[in-house]
Amino acid sequence: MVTSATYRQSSQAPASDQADPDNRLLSRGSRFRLPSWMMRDQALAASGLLAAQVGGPSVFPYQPPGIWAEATFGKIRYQQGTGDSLYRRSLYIFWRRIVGPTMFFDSAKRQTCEVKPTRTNTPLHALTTLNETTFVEASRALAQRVLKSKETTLAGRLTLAFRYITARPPQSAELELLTRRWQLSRQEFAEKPEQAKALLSVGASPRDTSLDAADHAALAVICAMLLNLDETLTRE
Amino acid sequence: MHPLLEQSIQHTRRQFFGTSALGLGTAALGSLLNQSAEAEEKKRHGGLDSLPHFPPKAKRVIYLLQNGAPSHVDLFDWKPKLREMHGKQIPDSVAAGKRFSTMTGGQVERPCLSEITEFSRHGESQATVSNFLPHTAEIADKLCFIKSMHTTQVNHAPAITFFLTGDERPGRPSMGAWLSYGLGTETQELPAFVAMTSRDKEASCGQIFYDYYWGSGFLPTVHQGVQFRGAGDPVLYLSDPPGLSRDLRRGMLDDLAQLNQQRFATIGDPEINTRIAQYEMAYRMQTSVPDLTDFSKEPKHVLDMYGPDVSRKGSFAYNCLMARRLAERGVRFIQLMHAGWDQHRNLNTQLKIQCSDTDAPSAALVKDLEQHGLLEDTLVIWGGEFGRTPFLQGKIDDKPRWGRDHHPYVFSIWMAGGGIKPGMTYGESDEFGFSVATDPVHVHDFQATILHLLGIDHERLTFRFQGRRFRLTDVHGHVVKKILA
Repeated sequence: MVTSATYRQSSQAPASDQADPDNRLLSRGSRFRLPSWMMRDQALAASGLLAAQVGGPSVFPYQPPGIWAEATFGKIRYQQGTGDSLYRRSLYIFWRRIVGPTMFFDSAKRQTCEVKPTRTNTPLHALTTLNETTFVEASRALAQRVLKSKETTLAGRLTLAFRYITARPPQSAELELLTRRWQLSRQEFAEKPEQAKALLSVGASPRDTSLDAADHAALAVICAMLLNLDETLTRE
Repeated sequence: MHPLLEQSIQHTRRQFFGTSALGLGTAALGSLLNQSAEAEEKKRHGGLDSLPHFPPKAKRVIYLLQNGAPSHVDLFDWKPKLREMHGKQIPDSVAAGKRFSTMTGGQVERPCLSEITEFSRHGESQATVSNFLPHTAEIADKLCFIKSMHTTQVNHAPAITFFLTGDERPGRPSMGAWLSYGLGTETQELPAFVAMTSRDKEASCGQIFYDYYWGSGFLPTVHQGVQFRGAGDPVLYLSDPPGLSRDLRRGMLDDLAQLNQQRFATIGDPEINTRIAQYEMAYRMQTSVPDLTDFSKEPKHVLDMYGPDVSRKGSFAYNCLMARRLAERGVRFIQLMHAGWDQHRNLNTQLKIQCSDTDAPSAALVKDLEQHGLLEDTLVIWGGEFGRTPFLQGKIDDKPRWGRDHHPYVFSIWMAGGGIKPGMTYGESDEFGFSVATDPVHVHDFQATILHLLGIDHERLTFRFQGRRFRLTDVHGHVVKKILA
């Protein structure tokens, strides 16, 4: 099925979409938001943080304090993992039946059988992919990965970051916009180095301190934006 | 198709979407950014076009769910017969053949247990309320007591699930999710359905709060209740990462919206516009929630009314004041759950503590809503998932360990505000407070009545799933017309 011409169509709406607005006739490829666990995997993979180990016991990634304790009247407390276990694929994350991993939205609750994924679009999802530790850490790790690449020009770096996340080079308008945002962010972080430092210390992975903090933080902001592009969050 | 023709069509199409992208995007952003709070309050977002079915009496609901089951015969349902028969076996004519939880199912001796409180009559309505609930007693004339509630469930989680979703098994949408789905919301800064939990300080009971209590079941998850937490960020991931200024966040989101609009121009998927709007709403939520949780502008007499616990985040009192503030801001369904009512072996010690934790805040909420002009269109509900046995769990000579077991056959709740007749009592139990004597109100009747108050015919709010239409009241439920104002 996946090799069929129908499956491999572009998800760009063709002219005929007036006849098939809901794509019931499969006149174009489907386009839908990635499941939340896949978004996390994608962010880890693009940033180079992903730990590729296969199998083994469940892992305990970042979780805001008090989630388990609140659900269990203080009887059970979450013990966050360390090292590589923070960066394993979402598949390996431990599920507590009464309160699942907090960064997964739209996931089946595992209380009844669900045959079809639900996909919604709410502000809470945006808050997760903007602010959850893994996503913030992934954006600074990706920035570091780009800064340590062979690219030395700003345009080259922005293009590389864009490609790591979307698998295509940016168009000139996009590059222009990112350049302007980078410059504004760079300026702010240069004026307030403690803010750059704070942003760059999110997450447990070490940062290469030989990199200029303002450069690094500004590029991390760009990477965070790119991780939140509709194109990034969506399977096309 | 000829390639040239195709290209020209694409071109036209692109222009069309390009224009509408700007149009739609700008309109969405404009409506998000420029609306004043007042203008927005009247506007409904989302919901079904066919709803409400008729003009509603209530616009929103605050459900103070007393998790663990308060003892009706000690708090509201005064039964002199129990005092008269104290220590004597409850007659077989009353209790024989009834099913109980495994905790007293095998207990052979079932002596009647007199109320451990003092009852008196209050207000013009002469409502019977125990001396453990002085603040509730004081506002008795604003309340409607239902003393003939009954359910089919004898254990906590299924009984709560039954009350909230219409089925004892997890998987159906919670009432708040149904209302979010059917009626949409009146705020874009906050979720339509908010849940908050608290428990007694002694943590005397072990029931946990399952998140399906505010789940969306088979409805889209956008309708699921959002839990406002008692510690840390009230909403998960609400805070920006450290070091990221608000200005920078604003700039990022503006750029992100622009990039996404360019994508929309190419792809033409309307979901992209929704995403742009959701990111904008996330930003607004970040701005509005700190204001919501800032009690510093509440006058002292209001704070005092809720009692000293109001300043302790995550307490029932704190959550009650939050409920009023959420109601003010247009949240559709506010579900507070307070655990600690499960007095199997500690009735003589815990019931009083439990009452003093909840009595003043519950009464204060009703009064506060009234003072803000919100009580007339806000429905407040106070009650547990079942009642407690009129007979003793334990041994009659072991007074410190007296208790009462779960009791589904009759129990009491109260409702107030939004379309409910104040100062009345509906239904009666028998002389032992064991079974319903008159005007039974089943859980599905209760649910049908709530939907009715919100302008919904409970038989017509349905959702098709697994080949059949589902509704909150399954195939049951009658509106309790006599309690309607």
